[in-house]
Amino acid sequence: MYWYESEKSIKLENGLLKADEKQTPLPNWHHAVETGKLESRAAYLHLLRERCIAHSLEGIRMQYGTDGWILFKQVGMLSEIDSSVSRLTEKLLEWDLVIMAGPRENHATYPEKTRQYLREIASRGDTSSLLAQQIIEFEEIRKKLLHDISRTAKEQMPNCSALLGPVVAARLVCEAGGLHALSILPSSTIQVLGAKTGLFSHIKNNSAPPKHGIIYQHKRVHAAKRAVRGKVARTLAARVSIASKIDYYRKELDPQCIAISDKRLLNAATCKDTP
Amino acid sequence: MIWDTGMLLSPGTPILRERIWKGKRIWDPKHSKLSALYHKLYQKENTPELELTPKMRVLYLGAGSGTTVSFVADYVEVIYAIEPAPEPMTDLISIAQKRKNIIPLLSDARKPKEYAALIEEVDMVYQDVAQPNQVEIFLENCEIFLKSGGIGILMLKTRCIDVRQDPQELSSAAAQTLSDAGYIICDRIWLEPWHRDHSALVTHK
Repeated sequence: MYWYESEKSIKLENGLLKADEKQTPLPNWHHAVETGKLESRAAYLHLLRERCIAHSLEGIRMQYGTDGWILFKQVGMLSEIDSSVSRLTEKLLEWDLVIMAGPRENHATYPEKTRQYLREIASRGDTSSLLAQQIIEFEEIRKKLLHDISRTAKEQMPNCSALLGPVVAARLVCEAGGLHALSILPSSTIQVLGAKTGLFSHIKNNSAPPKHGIIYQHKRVHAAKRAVRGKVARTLAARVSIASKIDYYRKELDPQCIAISDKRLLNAATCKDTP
Repeated sequence: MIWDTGMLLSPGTPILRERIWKGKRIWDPKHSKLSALYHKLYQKENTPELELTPKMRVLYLGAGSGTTVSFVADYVEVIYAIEPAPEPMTDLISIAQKRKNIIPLLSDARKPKEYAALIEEVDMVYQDVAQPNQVEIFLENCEIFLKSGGIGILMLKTRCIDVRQDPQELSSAAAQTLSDAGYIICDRIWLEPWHRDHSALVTHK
């Protein structure tokens, strides 16, 4: 049986085109014309093209319909806003330095002071103040976005969210390329997810391996002493590996798993065996 | 194929914001590996075997957003473009809607059996996918779709296969695998200076 002999010969599976198993591979357009199904090669190609385009569009909708994509786009937007806002703020403060014609203290290191300063500029009424207003508005958008991400992450991966905090969990899952991808990664990879530069320079040039990637943003890791930080990161990655599997297969919160994880992390952070 | 003052040109209708030379589209080797390959061959003055002709049927694996696809489509009869990711596929479809001879398929080149019932025997298989096992994927597809005597072009992204290994070694290993599978290697060309660590393997079935 050839694809043009049935209306439903092309199907979608996981958002990808799949021809029915009953269909003969390598169709021959001569056959279509000889059996009178289609009048010419042009008609054959036209029909195939129409169907493939229609099904591909449907497949795109199907793939985009999954929640993973929404989270993926939200997280991408969050990091874009972060870098844009920090770049704009920096330029604005430099500009302001010229306008005010005098040195000021370095605001970039104190986010609270920067914010206050931005508000000052915003109330001034010139072009730079319009920019400051926009930056402040972006902060508001960012807050809303963070809220959205937290909600989606908590729904989709309750365990990872409880363990890492929803936003870090969302970043991690996006870096891995989806919850399923994360759940099948070895914990050593999870540990350095998001530390691509460091990892590849280690593989290529034998420099020191990175101790942590995105999971550094977890407070237990970045608050840990230098000597035990690698140990904490390793432990956390191992627990994330388990949590992501529970999230993917069981899809519900497992308080016991979280409790054990907390204990392990505490042990790692207070470990005295290290030099 | 149309050459003018060292530039490869293409006769079709231009896509938005494209560079034009004497009414024809410029096929830039910087943006397309296939164009880079033709430039390399042109410098060596031996393209006739690889020329795209109006009767050709082409299978293109890893079509992306369809830049190269649109140029190939200007020259050949029909091109089957495989691409699994939804984002580039949207661009590809918008190009396919303007060109009658592009057939876009939202499919995974790693599973040729899933789309085998839709694609006829082709004269040329072109592969440009970023997968560590891209040689196997290429072979699998050629086995099914390439007619005997047809041309297979494999764009080997050595950095995608293994960053640790020497690109030269990887390229020879790939050539060995292909000739072991019964393919004749006609040419092995590095796409410097346009694309780093990319080697183009031109084979005959």
